[in-house]
Amino acid sequence: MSADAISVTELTVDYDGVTAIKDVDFAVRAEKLTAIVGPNGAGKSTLIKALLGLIPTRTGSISCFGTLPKQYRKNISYVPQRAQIDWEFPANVFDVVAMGLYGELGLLRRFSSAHKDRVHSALMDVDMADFAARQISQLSGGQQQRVFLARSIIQDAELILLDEPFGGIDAKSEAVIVDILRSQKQNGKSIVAVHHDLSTVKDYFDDIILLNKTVTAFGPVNDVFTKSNIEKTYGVSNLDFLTGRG
Amino acid sequence: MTELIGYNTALALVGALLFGFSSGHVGAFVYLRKASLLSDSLAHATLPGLIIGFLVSTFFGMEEKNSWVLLLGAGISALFGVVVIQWIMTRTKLGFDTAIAAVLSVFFGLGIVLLTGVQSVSVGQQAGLEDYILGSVSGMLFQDVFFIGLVSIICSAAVVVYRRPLTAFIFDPVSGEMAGYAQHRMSFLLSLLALVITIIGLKIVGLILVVAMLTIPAATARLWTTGVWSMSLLSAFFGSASAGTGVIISALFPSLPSGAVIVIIMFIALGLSIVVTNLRGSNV
Ligand SMILES: Nc1ncnc2c1ncn2[C@@H]1O[C@H](COP(=O)(O)OP(=O)(O)O)[C@@H](O)[C@H]1O
Ligand SMILES: [Mg+2]
Repeated sequence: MSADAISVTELTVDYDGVTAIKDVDFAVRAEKLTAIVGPNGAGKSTLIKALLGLIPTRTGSISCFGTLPKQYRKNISYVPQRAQIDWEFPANVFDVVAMGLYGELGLLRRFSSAHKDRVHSALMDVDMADFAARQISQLSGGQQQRVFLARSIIQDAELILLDEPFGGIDAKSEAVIVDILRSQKQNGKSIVAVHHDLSTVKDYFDDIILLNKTVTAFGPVNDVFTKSNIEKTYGVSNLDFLTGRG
Repeated sequence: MTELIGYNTALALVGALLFGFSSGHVGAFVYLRKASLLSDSLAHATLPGLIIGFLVSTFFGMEEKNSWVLLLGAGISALFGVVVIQWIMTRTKLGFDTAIAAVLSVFFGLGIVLLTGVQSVSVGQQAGLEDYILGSVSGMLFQDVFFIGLVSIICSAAVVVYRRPLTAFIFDPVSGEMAGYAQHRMSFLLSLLALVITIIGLKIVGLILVVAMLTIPAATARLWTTGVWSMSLLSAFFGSASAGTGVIISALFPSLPSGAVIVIIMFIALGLSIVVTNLRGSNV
């Protein structure tokens, strides 16, 4: 399939009159892993929220497989930034993954044993089956992220949007998450993730969107992820600090 | 039972048990949403409307015990408080806490001024008013209890029906919205439930302490439980048991305002829970 999963034209988003992203144009290929990369405050999270149809846009249009984000919502799953969540909330790992079924369950449908099996199999996929009864406050960052990924894949959505899934997590969790995202792609899902580590972009992703208020470049990583485009996005003075692991 | 404690106390007991259950049930979600301060502000903002309602009912020569007009006034007044909080937050750079504190103190202050005025013109008659400020279960009528009980049951039913969206909304509002439950709708629902609980609790607990019904049982239940639903049920149980016990004690010692007695009982349960869960090394 070569159709675009997402196409965005002339998108501008304001917060109280202050522009966060401006005249953004790009397309996301279906059944690919796409990174959104850019410095802090570049508007990456804002862009994701606009793609979810959660914030008002000033100008421009967004289409997800040919429809508006709001109409497509049932087929999108979203993995928020870990830091936005209150992990002291009274819930265990099972409860959180089960929340992925809330849309499907509606208000009153009973949570059946078939639903239970789905939660367990999602936990197996992210290698967290032994943690089902663990309170979420007692997980490492990487484990929290894997739980959120399980909550996402249980929805079986066509489009998966993740905000910094690799932020501050251990190497094992990172490997598990990359594996899951790749196998989701094999299953025909389209995946877009905000990513902060320039050194892993080439390994993990097919396509990239370089963003700093506006899109400086987008396309296949091999064509677009060049020194000059990175400089354009981050500014030359910051480059030594940002390339490579250190 | 009515022979043992009297018809009026039995009535009040039924009202308190149902109200305590529902306030604990709703309170668990208010507590997790960290909206206790907002609820307290609403409660204090009921005072001017309560007194205006009292003046209106007195002016029209309604029966002193006609609580409908007073509660209606209280509700309108609290809603007006919410509007002012919203207005302050959208039109000024003041934060949520400041907006809440401003509304709480200004509305309550205005209420106290009105109350002083009422006391100077109609000495003795305002006794009915004090019941709503400190809580009193003496002289509760059948229709009062019927109303409180029915509304309590409706609030609890709403919590049962909306437990999933409310949980998602509090834990991760964006995912809740993606599942079909818009954040502003869930926020409205929770505020509405808190407001309704506050209004029907005015008579039993009084406006100064009614926020405790939404907070202390929830905080206590949080110590013993590890899931939202079990927490809300235990909170409902604590609320119900405390309100019931409080009403009986206040019936035995009529000079004690029921609101204060209920809050003290809840606070003792909270204190014991903190000690016991610490001793056994809570896994929460
Ligand atoms: N809710 C908000 N209200 C006002 N400004 C915001 C809000 N969210 C983000 N911003 C601002 O918009 C800009 C982009 O933010 P964000 O999308 O979070 O960037 P990133 O995710 O790339 O770090 C920043 O300047 C930020 O301060
Ligand atoms: Mg961000």
